[in-house]
Amino acid sequence: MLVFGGRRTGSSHILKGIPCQDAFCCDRTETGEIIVAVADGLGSAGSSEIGADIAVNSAVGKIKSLFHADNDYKTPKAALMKNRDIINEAFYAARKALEKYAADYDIHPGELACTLIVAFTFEGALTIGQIGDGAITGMINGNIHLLSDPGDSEYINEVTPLTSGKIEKNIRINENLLNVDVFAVFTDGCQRAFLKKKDGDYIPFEPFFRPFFSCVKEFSNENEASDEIMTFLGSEKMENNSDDDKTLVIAVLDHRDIDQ
Amino acid sequence: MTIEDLVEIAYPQQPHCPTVLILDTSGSMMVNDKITRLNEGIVLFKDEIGKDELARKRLDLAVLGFGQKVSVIQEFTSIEEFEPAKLIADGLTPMGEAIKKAIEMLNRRKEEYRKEGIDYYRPWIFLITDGEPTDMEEGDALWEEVTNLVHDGEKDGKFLFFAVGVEDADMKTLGKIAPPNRTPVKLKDNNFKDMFLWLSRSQSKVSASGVGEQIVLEDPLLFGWAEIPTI
Repeated sequence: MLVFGGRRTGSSHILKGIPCQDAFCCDRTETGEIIVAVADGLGSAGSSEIGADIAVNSAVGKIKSLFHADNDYKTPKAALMKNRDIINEAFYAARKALEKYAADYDIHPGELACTLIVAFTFEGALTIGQIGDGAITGMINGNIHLLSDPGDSEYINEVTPLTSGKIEKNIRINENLLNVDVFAVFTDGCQRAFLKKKDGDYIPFEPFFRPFFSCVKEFSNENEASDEIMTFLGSEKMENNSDDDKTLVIAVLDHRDIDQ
Repeated sequence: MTIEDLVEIAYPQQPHCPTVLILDTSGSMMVNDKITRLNEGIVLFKDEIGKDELARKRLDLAVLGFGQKVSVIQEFTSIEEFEPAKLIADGLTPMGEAIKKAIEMLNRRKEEYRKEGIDYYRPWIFLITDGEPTDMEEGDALWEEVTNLVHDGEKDGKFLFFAVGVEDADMKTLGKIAPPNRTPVKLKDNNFKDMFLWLSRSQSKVSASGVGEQIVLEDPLLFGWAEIPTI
């Protein structure tokens, strides 16, 4: 299994001297399962790049810790939990970490507002949680599917962040997806390039994903693959499509020759 | 071959920023040549938006007039396609029907956006009047319908409703029609020019905003075109 990706500061952010407000984190459990988190800090929040960074690291750290067997029976907590509860724990941990940072630095938690997408594999199944926009697409039995959508916010510049409202009300979970060969997680800076809207619903843009997934499945080195993704995110095609920050993370699940 | 060479990406249309201007073209707009100033203001608005690269692509403008009748002066169009028609002041003030029509047009436009997969910003409705409605009065059926549409629409996030009173406008009545959270302002010294300059700058800000970005509009009072009505 390979996991790789990159993020690029949007040209509008560079122009305004704003840092990249996207963040991502990828890791593996002790048994080699993949964990991915991607966050997009809100433009209206003063320290959202910090919020996004804290959110992805705490979410991934939480899942990793749940898969750590630290008792005498060598059974990780995660093995006794439903996958959706593992996702929920990751989101609560991320929210708590943001609230702690806000309290420590005496700022309003809203200053750290960001979206969050978390995905992990366990025994051949993929489970996803999402608050806010961005999306996950994946290939299942040769077909391209939208595995987690950007949500149904009516207006393009409005989104519900991780710091607002109740997590259980805002989170969208897609649990135990089987036969996913490869999946891509991305922030809204990539959304208009990778998804289309049909009758109000998002669908993956096939002329992008079909060649893209075929290509990334051929990669055998994570660092080289990440470099390729970075080059693509900074390409003219992508720059012309959106001036926003862009993050794209890929996991190839059926890969056998891991060369990290 | 690089990834860029291998893939095609989607190029959806620019997100749209729908705006409806509801303009009073009743006979009283002739007094002190307000109608001329209004006409000049609209031309200025087009020019100012035209100078802004993003706003030019994203603003989707419709114009309604209410005087002798409620008339669609301009169906939704891009600012490049918009040719300001010279407004003539004549007739009464059928403001209620004009507001209703504007909301209907917005709803229809949103439906079109959804069908065509076009993203959009929260619409703006901008009402300018120098009088009081002559087609409805407080408590009648049209009044109830229109004020409910405006108040619920603003409360439910369907649009932002701005009302501007000019000269002898009945600010008390306008205040009851406008949403409770957005008190109407009074145009100072018939300064249509600065009002449209403010509107174009505000629309430029909205059309350049990213996800989650809070738009802070310039204060119309500080901008110099508006004053708080003294009712």
